[in-house]
Amino acid sequence: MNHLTSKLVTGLAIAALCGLPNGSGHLCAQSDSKAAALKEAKALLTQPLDVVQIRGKSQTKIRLTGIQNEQVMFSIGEGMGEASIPLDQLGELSFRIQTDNDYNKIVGAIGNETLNPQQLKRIRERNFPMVRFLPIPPENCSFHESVKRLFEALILAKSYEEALLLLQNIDLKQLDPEFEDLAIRLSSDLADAEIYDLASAALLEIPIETINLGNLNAALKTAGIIRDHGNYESAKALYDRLTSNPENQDREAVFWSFYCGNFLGMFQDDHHFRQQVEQLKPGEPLFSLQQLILGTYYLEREQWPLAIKTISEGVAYARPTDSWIAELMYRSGMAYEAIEEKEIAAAVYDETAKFFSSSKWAQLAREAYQRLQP
Amino acid sequence: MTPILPYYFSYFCRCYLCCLLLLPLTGVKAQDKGLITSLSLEALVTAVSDNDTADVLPYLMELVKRSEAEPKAELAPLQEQCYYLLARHHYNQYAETRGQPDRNACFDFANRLLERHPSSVRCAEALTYKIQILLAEKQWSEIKPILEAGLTGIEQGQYPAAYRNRWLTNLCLVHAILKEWVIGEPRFRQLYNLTLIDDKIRVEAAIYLIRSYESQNKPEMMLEFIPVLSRAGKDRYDPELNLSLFKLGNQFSDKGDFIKANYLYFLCLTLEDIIAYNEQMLAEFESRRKWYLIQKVDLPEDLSYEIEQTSRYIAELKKQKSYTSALKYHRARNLDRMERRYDAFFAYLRLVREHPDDDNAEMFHYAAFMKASDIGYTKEVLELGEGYLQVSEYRIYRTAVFVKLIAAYFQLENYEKVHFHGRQFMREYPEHAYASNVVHYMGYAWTRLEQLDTLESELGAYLEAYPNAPMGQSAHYWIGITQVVKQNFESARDHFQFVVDNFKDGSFYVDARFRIGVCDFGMGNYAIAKERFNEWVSDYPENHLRGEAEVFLGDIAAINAQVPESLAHYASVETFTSKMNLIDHAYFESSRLLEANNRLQEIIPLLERYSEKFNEDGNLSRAIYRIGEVYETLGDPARMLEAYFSAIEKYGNQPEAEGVDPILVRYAGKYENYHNRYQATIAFLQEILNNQDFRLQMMQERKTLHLHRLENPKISKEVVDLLLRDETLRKGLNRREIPQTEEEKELGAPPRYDHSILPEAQALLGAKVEELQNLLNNFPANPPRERFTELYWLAREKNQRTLLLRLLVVFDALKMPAPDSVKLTVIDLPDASPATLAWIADKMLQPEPELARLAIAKVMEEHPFSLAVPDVQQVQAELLLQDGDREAAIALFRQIIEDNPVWPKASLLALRIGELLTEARQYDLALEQYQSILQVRDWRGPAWAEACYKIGQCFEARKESLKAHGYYERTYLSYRQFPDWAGMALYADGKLLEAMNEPESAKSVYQEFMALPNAESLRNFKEVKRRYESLNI
Repeated sequence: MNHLTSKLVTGLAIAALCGLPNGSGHLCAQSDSKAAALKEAKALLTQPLDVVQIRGKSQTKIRLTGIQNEQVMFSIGEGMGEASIPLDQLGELSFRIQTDNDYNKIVGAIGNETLNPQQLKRIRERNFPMVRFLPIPPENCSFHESVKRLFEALILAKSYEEALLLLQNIDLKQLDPEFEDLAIRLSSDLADAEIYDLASAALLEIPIETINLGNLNAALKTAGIIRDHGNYESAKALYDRLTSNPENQDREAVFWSFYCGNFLGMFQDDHHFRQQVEQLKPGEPLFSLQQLILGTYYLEREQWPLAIKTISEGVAYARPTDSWIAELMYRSGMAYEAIEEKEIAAAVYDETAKFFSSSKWAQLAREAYQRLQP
Repeated sequence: MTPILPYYFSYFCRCYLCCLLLLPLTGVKAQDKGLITSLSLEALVTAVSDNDTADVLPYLMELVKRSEAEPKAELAPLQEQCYYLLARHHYNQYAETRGQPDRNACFDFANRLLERHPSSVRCAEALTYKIQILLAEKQWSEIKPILEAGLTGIEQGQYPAAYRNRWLTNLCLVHAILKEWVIGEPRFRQLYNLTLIDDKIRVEAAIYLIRSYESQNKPEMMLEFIPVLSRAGKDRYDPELNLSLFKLGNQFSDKGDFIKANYLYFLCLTLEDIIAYNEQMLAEFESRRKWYLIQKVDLPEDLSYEIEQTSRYIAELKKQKSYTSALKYHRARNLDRMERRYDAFFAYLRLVREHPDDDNAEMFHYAAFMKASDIGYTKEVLELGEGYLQVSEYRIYRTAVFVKLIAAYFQLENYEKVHFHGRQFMREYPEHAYASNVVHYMGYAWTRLEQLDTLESELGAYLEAYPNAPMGQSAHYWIGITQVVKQNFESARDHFQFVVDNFKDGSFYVDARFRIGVCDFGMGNYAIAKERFNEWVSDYPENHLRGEAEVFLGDIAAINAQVPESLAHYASVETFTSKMNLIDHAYFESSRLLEANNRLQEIIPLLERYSEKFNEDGNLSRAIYRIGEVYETLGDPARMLEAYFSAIEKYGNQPEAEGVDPILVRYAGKYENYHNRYQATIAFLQEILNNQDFRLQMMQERKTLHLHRLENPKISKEVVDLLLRDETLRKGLNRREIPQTEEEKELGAPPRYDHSILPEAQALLGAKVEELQNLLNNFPANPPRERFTELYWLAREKNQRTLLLRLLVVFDALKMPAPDSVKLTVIDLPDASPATLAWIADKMLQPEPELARLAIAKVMEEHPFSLAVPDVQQVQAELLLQDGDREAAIALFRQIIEDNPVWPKASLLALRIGELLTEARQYDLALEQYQSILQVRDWRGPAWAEACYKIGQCFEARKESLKAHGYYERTYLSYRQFPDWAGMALYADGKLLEAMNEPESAKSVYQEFMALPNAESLRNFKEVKRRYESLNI
């Protein structure tokens, strides 16, 4: 991972966010406070961490100052200078940070209720300094869980810049899968909020090529959100990365990459497109997606008989849980319309609008339905 | 289960007792039963205070005992507290151990609390213990009244409302478990409508309601819950829920609401989908587990649990009986009912593919087959039909499949298969009603194949074997048709008469009656034929053969020279038929009739009407040609050109108006022809008028004039003929001997001539020049290139892509540069006329073969009867060559020639076959091919010259020099008028003779080469010259 690049991207993204013309004093103030919080978070990341070192029954207060060359650096008492211990020799040694009821309450509230600014501040101040000590294995400290809670709290509070900062300062490959889950969640939320710069920056931090299957599926959903917002170029780039993940056992990412390419006008004159796309047989999972992509290609090339054939076969094999079903139905309407079966086309559009009313294709279907009314 | 609760005696109760008894608190720790019974009440209370219930059970029991023994109002709170604590203690114990004594004790104390202190705030909690225990024990029927009582208590203010969500959720769960979908509905609805519940519970309630309405056959009521399904998470994959959705789909379908039924069917997940989902979940868990394994970290307990549970669940699911095929069938049928024919076809096809062993597989197969036929998916019709017939167990629809399949093969002109299946059908079902249809297709196919003898013998045999079978009408009819073709009208008449006499209600009766009229016509009995046709028309005025009858009646009237009657019959043809061959016959016969009666002017509006009406399906080019011919005959070629141009403008943007394509080329050709002719003739006449020597040279000997025309073919033949034959001109233009005086005669003076032009000749020729000049002036000012260019830009402006593409073709054909560069893409294909598609295919053969393939496919699929078909097939054959399939390419070339023997390019394809065989060094076959070309008289000309030369080449390649020499010689002797081929042959022969050590012969051959007209422009001139010179040295 090129941290320099990723940091630059983030910096620019945040600058872009702060620089948004809004004409609202409130928003400016909000941006200012976010920028201040980010600055504070950056400072917290470098702070030493006061912990209780526990070995058997003995407990000692020490100050963790950093991790260098696989060694935990620390100091004990005032003016005693620094000492260190190799990470692989921690043995039964563990580091704890005392908790209190207030903190426990805040942690308990994460995910259940919205944290107020004071609560968020509390958890931020307490847990941000732990971030750089995550190389200490979880059996020797409780930092991992604490940082996870911080990460989650930041995401829930929509403090995306800080969440991204946290993400940029951890090594996902070395941490347990829950960190990966949260990183994916962050990118997904950013995509949902149409903050593509930050979403891209977050995705750059996630080892898409190695994430586990569950997160691979989540990343696919994020790419889907980006795609659904018409940002085909970014979506395609993400799909292309996803295809190289060895956990990726099917062609979904490949298909969506083709889909985006289609909208980017890459295949209009590519006569071999069909051969590239058509790899699945009827009945295989994703067959209907394959048909949607091919059908769209044929519709764009005005090859109507092939379009109706391809899309209808897709409809016959579609499953209700397929996320692309509304579009497939809409395209089915288009294909019927193209072959002059206008009544059927209108019925299909109507059905699409009624039964997939929350989909973006419903509006298009509604318009097409209206257009076909005598 | 409720979590274990803290065990402390409440502070409230302790204070209360202190106040009540006014006794000092003393710590009591004694556990001895005797001692406990001896303790005072206050001591007992002190003993239990601030202690875990488990530690002070005997004291609590003693308190209960005493409070029950002496019921006193002031002890009631103490008793209530004790019951509660004991109930809770035993509940917690039960939660840990599931021991029956604890269970009973909990119930006992809870019941005592509920009965004796029904208004206690703790009753709700006690009730909850009972409920939780019964839930754990799955005592569903036992729980129900408790939950009902609890909920009633809440409504009456007896219990806190805070318990409502929980108890209602529990009650709904119990109803669901007991499948009490109907009686549970009010409670499900109540739960769904609660405001402060978790979304998960609301979704659960919605699912219960969906199932409830399914049970109650109230599908409309469930619609509001459909959106909830998208939030159902794992519950969405519950097989029971999905089965309910399926049933709801059926309920909608039964009510005729197919759209909603379709949606419900669609929403229903198949068991396979559900298994796949769970397998995906399992795969995700396994993927997650990998990290822990790699990091050597203990697997979290919940992850292990999920993996185990999911694996078990998948195993269970796999044991379930699948409802998938039934669901898919209902969905397909529903799509069919909604007339979504394409979707329905694939839905049926899916059943065929995925459920070949289903009990209803035969029905699936048949439904898919029929739907494929309905939407014209021929390939699928054939595959499914053949597949069906191959399964011997399939019997229900066998006869119908046979007939449909035979019809499909008939449409494809695959007559071999028509007869194969037809014979099979006749073996299996000779007396079936459908046999009549089968025999019909067989007979029709034999007629098309011109295998009339086979038709007669096979159908004759059927008739002999089954004289009374229903297929008799069809067999007789087709035998009758063969007799008509053979012009055995009398015999034909007998067969048709048999059909008329014996199958009055049959489908061939009306046709047979009509054919009897045809037979009479064929036998020349026009009066009888006329009577028959008139009777027939009167009986069946709406019949599809009415148009043909009008054609016959028109022909009979024409034979009888009844021109108005004939024209009237012809004019009515298009009212009764859409068959273009009949309409064409009517129009063009009318045109012929008008011409024969010298009514040329009437032809033009007639054919203009034809062009207007049938510009897409009719023979537009023939009509426009004919109009042009009429104008030409009337001596007005400018109007001919205008007629062409106006047709181009009018129909040029209609892809189906195929006549436009040849007219475009014809326009340019005619323009050049006439324009050049006028110019050359005017120049020639002016030369005659102004150049005396030239005039006298031309006029003195007719031969000179003939030769001059041969050298200047652009000069009008009519004008030359005039000069050759018109006596006024011959006299007036030639020299005239001046009569000699007697004196001159005596002196023997040589004759003198008058070389001037006589005024009559001058006037005649001057008028001719003026007439030609007028014709030239009336000609379109712009040459075709300019006119087409203007039209091109106009077409571009109006976005008339079809016309624009057509113009590109004509620019290319006339070797004119196109006005701008156009990149041909797949988007152009829908707009292109068949001829344009053929041109695109040809142009794209090398640079973009895939586009060429698409263009070919478009012609073959959408314009199978177009004149462009052989052109695209030619490109198709070249593509086969590109793909390395030489044999297939040759086979296709042969097929094209066979199908289109009079196609102008047929000879070129025949030569191409020879070339390919030569390339492959298959000289025997190549020789055979070239020899065969020399057998086709229609190909006389350059094709023969080339074939002859190539035969020489083949022999030379086979080292048969003498034979090669013979064919080279034959080429340059017989085809001298084709200097290219003569030159090639001479060059090849010269080289051959040199190799044969015959230098003198070679020299003379080379000499002959150099003597050819325009020899210097021939390909090998320099080489021939070099060789000749070297031989001379």
